[in-house]
Amino acid sequence: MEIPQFLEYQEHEAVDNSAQKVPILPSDAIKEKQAGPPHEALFLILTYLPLFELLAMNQVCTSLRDAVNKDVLSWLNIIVDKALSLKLSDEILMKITSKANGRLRTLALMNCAKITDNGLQQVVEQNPLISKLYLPACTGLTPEGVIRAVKTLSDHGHCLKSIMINGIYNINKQHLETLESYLHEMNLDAKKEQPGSWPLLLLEYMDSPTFRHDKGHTIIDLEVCPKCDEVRMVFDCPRWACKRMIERSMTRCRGCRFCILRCQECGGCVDSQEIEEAVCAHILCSDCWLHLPKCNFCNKPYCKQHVDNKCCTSGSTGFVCEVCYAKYIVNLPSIVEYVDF
Amino acid sequence: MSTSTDNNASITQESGPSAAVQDIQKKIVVRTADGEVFNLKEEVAMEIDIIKTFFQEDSISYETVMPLPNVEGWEMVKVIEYCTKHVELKHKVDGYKERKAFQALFVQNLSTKSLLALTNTANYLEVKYLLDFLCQAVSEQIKNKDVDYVRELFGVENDFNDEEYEQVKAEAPWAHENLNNDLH
Repeated sequence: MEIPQFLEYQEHEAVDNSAQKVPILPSDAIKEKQAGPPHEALFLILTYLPLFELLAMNQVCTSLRDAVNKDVLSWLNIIVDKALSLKLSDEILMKITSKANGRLRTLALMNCAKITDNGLQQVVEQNPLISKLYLPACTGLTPEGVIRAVKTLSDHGHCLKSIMINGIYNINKQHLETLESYLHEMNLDAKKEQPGSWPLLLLEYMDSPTFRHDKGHTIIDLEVCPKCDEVRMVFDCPRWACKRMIERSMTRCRGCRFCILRCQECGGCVDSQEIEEAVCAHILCSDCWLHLPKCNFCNKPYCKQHVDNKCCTSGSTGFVCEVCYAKYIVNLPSIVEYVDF
Repeated sequence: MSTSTDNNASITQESGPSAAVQDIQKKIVVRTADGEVFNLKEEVAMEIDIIKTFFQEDSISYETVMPLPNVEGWEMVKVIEYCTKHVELKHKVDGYKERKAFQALFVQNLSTKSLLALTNTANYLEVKYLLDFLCQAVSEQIKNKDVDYVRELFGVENDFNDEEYEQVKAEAPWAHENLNNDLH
């Protein structure tokens, strides 16, 4: 009698589970001889590391620890990412930023919900030379707190070139105007050199949000959406001649994400009639949907952000998405029980 | 050497009408540590600050072959590849996707060891944007990874004694608590 295909999946799942218990080691490790002193280049990368990785390097060996601790350069650009964002308290922030000896240049706190206005103010008072202040989704902050911090920087250091505040609650047009006036005053030269700014594409923003200033994007990440008149992040369209532009000739395809739906893969605008959905519920345009690999069961693709959530089953090509996997494969043992062999 | 002919070949492949003009374009010659000789187009060579300084500061004639004793042949090939692409994309408005695709291919077949060696070279040659890119690439490799992984990846020996190690961990105890639970 043929073993039903369902049982095969179950076996493979068991094998997968046991395989996952082995610690994940880099397949690409420098293996040729006994471990030794750190490569010279490792000292070069220190200033590029976000906080979490910097702290890890600090623990690798004595020479790297010395380099991290004694070199103030590694502490001038603090980037707190997903790994540490929820652990960062005001106190820890103070401790970390004090290592810059007052010369902190970039403070990027991505989704650091525990940081308060007071915490931010303390850092800013001790480090007036900050030029990039990125606080996206730091929901513990208020618009008033941000304004106070920006004013302090304007009065004392006058170096602020770029801020991100998308995700902080309750920012209205007045707040935005106040911030704009401080920032434009600090960047009069920049305005003369670059009358316009580089268009902001969804894809670029998601890939490397903290490089916005280097790419010539706007000084504040928020503006008033030309379509709905609310304070939002506004994106441009990467399509050379997108449908929207052609249909409503003359209006640029610029708007917030509520007004103009964009494909998660390519950032291009998507008509409400031709929306395709990914497993993760993100929107895709039909072109991107066509060339992405799809789940064997429900025929939906993943967007590249979530593609690691797919479940592979050996013995068949392609993949099964996590939803179908849970629905059809994990639940099978109860179905199999009813089959009489 | 195949590398020199590659450089020459890339000129004739470019757009027809200006090919004749480019043939007359000045070339700069460098020699790497392993004796390989490279003919660089002037505009690409000038992207490499150490070369630019060498020729411009003392007005040295382009006939001089510049020695690069700290650079290997294969590294020079990669540096030229990156700089050439950079010059090409400089004036393109919508080069973002192309640049991303190129960068992904550029590091695809490089081992960790090679990546580190190339990073050092980019630093020595003083090509800022290449150094930035390579440092980012190395930094991506250890993103969200713990200390053991980093040591293993870069082949670094743990030379802390127990006391020192406890001290270093005590500096930021909150950073590595519940490591596996938080990362998803």
